[in-house]
Amino acid sequence: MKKEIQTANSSLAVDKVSLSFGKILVINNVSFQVYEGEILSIIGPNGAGKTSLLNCLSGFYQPDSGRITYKGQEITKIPIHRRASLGIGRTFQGLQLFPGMTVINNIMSGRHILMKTNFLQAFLHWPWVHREEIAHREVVEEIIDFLEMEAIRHELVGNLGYGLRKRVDLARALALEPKILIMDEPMAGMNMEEKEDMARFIIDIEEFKSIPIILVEHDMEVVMDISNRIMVLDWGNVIAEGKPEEIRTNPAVIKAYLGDADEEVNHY
Amino acid sequence: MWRPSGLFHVNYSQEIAFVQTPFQWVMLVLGLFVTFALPLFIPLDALNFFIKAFITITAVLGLTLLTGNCGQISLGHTAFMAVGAFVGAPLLNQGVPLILCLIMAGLAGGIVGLIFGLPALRIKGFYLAFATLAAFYVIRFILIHYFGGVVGHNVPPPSILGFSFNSDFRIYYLIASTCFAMTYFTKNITRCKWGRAFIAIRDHDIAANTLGVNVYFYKLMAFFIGCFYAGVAGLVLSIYMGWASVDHYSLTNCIWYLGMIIVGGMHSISGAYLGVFFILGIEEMGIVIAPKLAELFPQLAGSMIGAVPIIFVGLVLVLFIMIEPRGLVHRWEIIKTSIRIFPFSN
Repeated sequence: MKKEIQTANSSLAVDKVSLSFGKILVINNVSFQVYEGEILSIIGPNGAGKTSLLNCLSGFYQPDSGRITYKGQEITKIPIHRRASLGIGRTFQGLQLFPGMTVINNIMSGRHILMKTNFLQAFLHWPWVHREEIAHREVVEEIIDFLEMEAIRHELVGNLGYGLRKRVDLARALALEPKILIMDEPMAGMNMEEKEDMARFIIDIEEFKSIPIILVEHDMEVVMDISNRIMVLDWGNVIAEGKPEEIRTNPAVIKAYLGDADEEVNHY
Repeated sequence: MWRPSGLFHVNYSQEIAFVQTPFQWVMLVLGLFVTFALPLFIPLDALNFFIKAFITITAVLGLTLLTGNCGQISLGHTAFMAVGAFVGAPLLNQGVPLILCLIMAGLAGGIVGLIFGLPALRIKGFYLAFATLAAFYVIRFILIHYFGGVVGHNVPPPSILGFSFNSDFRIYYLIASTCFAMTYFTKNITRCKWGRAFIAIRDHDIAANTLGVNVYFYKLMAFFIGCFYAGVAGLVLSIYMGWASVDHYSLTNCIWYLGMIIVGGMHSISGAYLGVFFILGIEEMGIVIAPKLAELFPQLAGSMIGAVPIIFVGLVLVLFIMIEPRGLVHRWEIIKTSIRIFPFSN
């Protein structure tokens, strides 16, 4: 099932990025590449700096040093909202949805950058605006179809359960037609069935839309099953990188997750 | 959101249409007919109540967009109304056509609103509320000292195509039409990407930002649009009063506008209508009851008359925040649903 990834086609490249909050070094000189058409998982114990790294990619944090390039263009310092139009989609760890809107409108808001209506046109609701709304609605319906959410499309997101909300989050990120998808713990807090659905969706996205996916996830079973490549962070450092089967047996990774006897003593 | 059973949209166009069912068409036409026939049947003081209500609705619709939809609290709304009046009144005096004056008043209110909305780029919630409160006093100060505020401007009765709005009876038509036009515009804003961007910013600004919504730009545009409504409402009020003076645009009104959107339902257009009529109704009731209470408690009489309406409104606000924080419009939805599913409702 796992295909070979062409390492020549780099989509996103992180070059020697460091980030610190005060004196705490969160990310230390991390470099990696994401290749076209792969699922790259970033794993690591709690506090390893995974989410901070993703936040650097999304622009919430500015790295202290280093460069992030996306398709050859440097994006380290560009504003957050411009990254969407470059094609960087992002889903969130928690529930960063718009609870006051229906599922349809949440996903429609993902198409914001693709809609051209200006202020005056919006005010007068020109026929052109109407046509644009409908054209985008059709695309949104395809996404709803893809993620199997037909039954809940008119529900307020605030009334949905946790698993479905995560799905809406994914749909919203897909709506902006991303060229790369960054997913922060898409399976956190889900039950087995929801996890299986989500894993299936991730594989489908990678397959049908052939976009690279960066995945941060704690569930090792899922990570080992669906990733093409895994990168392991610990205390802000990359301690291992490679195919799932290599990571599984890597002594440094096992040590980072389980610790060893000497370190136990040092900690306490 | 929820449709009566048996009503299905067969295309996406129907779903975003302004009027969606034949029943709504009937109600719309009937409603417009009643509104425009109303002055023929009701006494003048009742007419004044409706004039006041429609002016307030125009202003409150702006606040619905700004506070209800975009989540930016503004305590300076009446100040932006005053700006609209103080720009529109001199223009009317110079014989500029009424429609143009209304647009200019709106734009002036909007631009000033945009400037005083700048703090919203950095601060939220309470802090923003206080920044806009400061805006209220700054604008008031500027209007009084540099634009002849205490005396104000005389506003001549405007006219469209020779039809002069020179009595309350005639002004009613101007005000109702303005209010309905602005309602339609509000609906238009909320049903396209702008409305979604506003709600996205209210609900989760960081997520909105990652979706490519330029949060700064849209916050400022929310201020511009919200204050555009204020500007138009301000000029319309000064036309009704025949005079533009800062005293017509008090801080109390501004806080009551916020109360109205809370009582009606923050984010919806019908919420603005319900809230305005409800609060103004309560106020009128207070005014009617106050003299009777004063007869019962003669020792309080002096202060009672003025205080009773305010106490009533305050009480209503507290009760709404406690019992129905989502406003009358939510209660209305519940009632509608229970009628629709009648034998099974409780």
